[in-house]
Amino acid sequence: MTELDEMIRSLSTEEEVDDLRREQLRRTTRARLYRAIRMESHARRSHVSWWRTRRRLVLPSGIAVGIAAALAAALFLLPSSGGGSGSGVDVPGLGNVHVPGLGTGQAQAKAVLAHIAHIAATTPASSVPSADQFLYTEWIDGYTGNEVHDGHNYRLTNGQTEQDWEAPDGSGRQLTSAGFFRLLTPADNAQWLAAGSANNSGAAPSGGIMDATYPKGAYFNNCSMLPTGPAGLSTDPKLLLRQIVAKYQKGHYSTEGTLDKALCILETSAYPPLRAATYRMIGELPGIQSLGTMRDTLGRSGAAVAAPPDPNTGEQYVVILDPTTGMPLEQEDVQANNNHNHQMYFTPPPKTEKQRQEDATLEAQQTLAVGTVVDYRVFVKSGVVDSDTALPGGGSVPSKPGITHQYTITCANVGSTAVGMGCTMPGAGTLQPGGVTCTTGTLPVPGVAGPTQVVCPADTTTNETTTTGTTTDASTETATAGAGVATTG
Amino acid sequence: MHTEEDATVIADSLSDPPCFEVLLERHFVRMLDYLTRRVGSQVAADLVADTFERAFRNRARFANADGSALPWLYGIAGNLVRMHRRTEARRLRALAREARSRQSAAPDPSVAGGALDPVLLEALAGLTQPLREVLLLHAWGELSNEEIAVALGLSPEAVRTRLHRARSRVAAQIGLASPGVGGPAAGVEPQTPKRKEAM
Repeated sequence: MTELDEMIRSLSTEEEVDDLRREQLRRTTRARLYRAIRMESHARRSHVSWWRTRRRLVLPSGIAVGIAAALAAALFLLPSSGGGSGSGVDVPGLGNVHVPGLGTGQAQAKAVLAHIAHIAATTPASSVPSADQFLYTEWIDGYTGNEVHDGHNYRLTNGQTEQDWEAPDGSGRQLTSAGFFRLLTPADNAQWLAAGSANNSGAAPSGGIMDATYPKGAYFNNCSMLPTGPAGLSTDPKLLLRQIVAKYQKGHYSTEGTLDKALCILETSAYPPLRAATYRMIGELPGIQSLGTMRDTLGRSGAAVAAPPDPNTGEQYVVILDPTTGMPLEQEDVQANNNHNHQMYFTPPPKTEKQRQEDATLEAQQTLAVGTVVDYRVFVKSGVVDSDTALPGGGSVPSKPGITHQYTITCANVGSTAVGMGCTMPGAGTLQPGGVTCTTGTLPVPGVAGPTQVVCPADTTTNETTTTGTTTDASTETATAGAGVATTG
Repeated sequence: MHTEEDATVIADSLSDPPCFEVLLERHFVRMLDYLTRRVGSQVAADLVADTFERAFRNRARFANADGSALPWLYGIAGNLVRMHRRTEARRLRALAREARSRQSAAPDPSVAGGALDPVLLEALAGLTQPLREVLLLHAWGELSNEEIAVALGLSPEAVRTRLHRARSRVAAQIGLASPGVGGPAAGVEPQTPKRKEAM
């Protein structure tokens, strides 16, 4: 290191990220990775099973049919929902779609939001969870992506349901249920059929359930960092904006970021004056515009407002609100234009002409048509409940089952510390190198209360051996990636 | 201590995708800290997740004979930062302004905190993106020239040249004597010791 390097190295450009925040972000990142893993694993399995049953009609299960049908409506029939000011355009493969960005301007957005604010202000307050209760929120999370099979590129959309029960102290349960995936355009479907696969007219439920419990202070639902009652945030729209930017955006304003935090308030706050102020504040955000009436992924009609398209990605942050209750129905990112400076990057960068062409092809394949819903979050319902199995308005889900982890550990230098990783064990990476003594003994499996007995007999010939087994976790945080890893016990 | 090389983990993950999480647990903290310094914690929170997701989706492209995935991950992160290059430059300038106002409030450098040097911040903000990338991968990412070459798909010579240019420009701007910053002419480029899977 030169003197200059040392000066640059010691530059402090940001306050330290504390451990709690770091672990929150690690969880978020892990969840994103799991989603990608699930999607890939599912696409592989689906391909195999549809190949085998290509002559058989795929009969999707109840809810998936409903969601898929609604999704099809949302993706293909947006203009029929009466998208505001006749801003539909013809897009090959998608038909006539509503194009955000050609909306009806800030004045109208302000008027719509003022109307909703008035309704919100006169709605009676709902309850706030007491110490031994939970705030329940349920949503469907989905996105549009690409997968390559047998040399063909397919665009598909997938989604999954997530349910959170979060106590005021930040502990609780998060259940991510089987989702679905569906080929995006008729062209993709035609290609799929031409490859000899079964008709993709319906949706196939994907495997993999994540059932996690979190300890006190985890605040796994990021929204819960905001007060749900009257305390803490101003009911003056201008002050509220300042507080949100200062408290939750580290002083760096962005319309999209502020809208995101505003949604957190709308989703969780039971205090009508704060909700009303939030709508008025949204109406004042620079560049906010009304997109008229839009339907969400479930087919529910609402008033849509949007931030200006992101110049880096061409995506536009859109929020659809229920005009009668003010509750958020859906947040989605829509590909508003392709005039952006974003590029798909692949590393290492191409070295040969052939690789360059491959990258160009991949980039072209991954460019989404204008009007495509890139990802979305449908708010299904929320409410205060007494336990982490109860649902608002009655009904319940089973309590968290024990989850069996399967692990495989390859032991080297038996008897010493430090070993290889057991890749089929969920959360294999948290089995830290150096943290395991690889003899008959105990293994600290993440998420499992207490040490787990592991037998790893020495092989005197190679001084290396492999052992497999299972552990069951009934109480603490677990997350399983992919299918076939977790079984209920 | 023996652990599986990143390259082995990635190879395993092609047939057993959940294996990829090993890389996340191994390199998450370094990637988060690096991105936080580059673009601030708020943007970094998104980019760190993007980095690992993209790495997973493109893992078949991974090819590094020495086994470490770090240069590759830094390369992906750098590509994402490039999309926020204006944010980064604006942020460096804003920090420089903040440092100036702190200095005027507390002229004693030990009180002001020498960690925020406005002239240096402005010099970094003024670099072109490719030069800043190389310099910060070296100073903040602590990568060797060879690792930077892998991360950016450049030859080690090109990395040396860019690093020299970047240092010269910054040194000139902050008033450091240029020879003192080292460069290819010296022929003894200081190398950051190679790390293997730092936790």
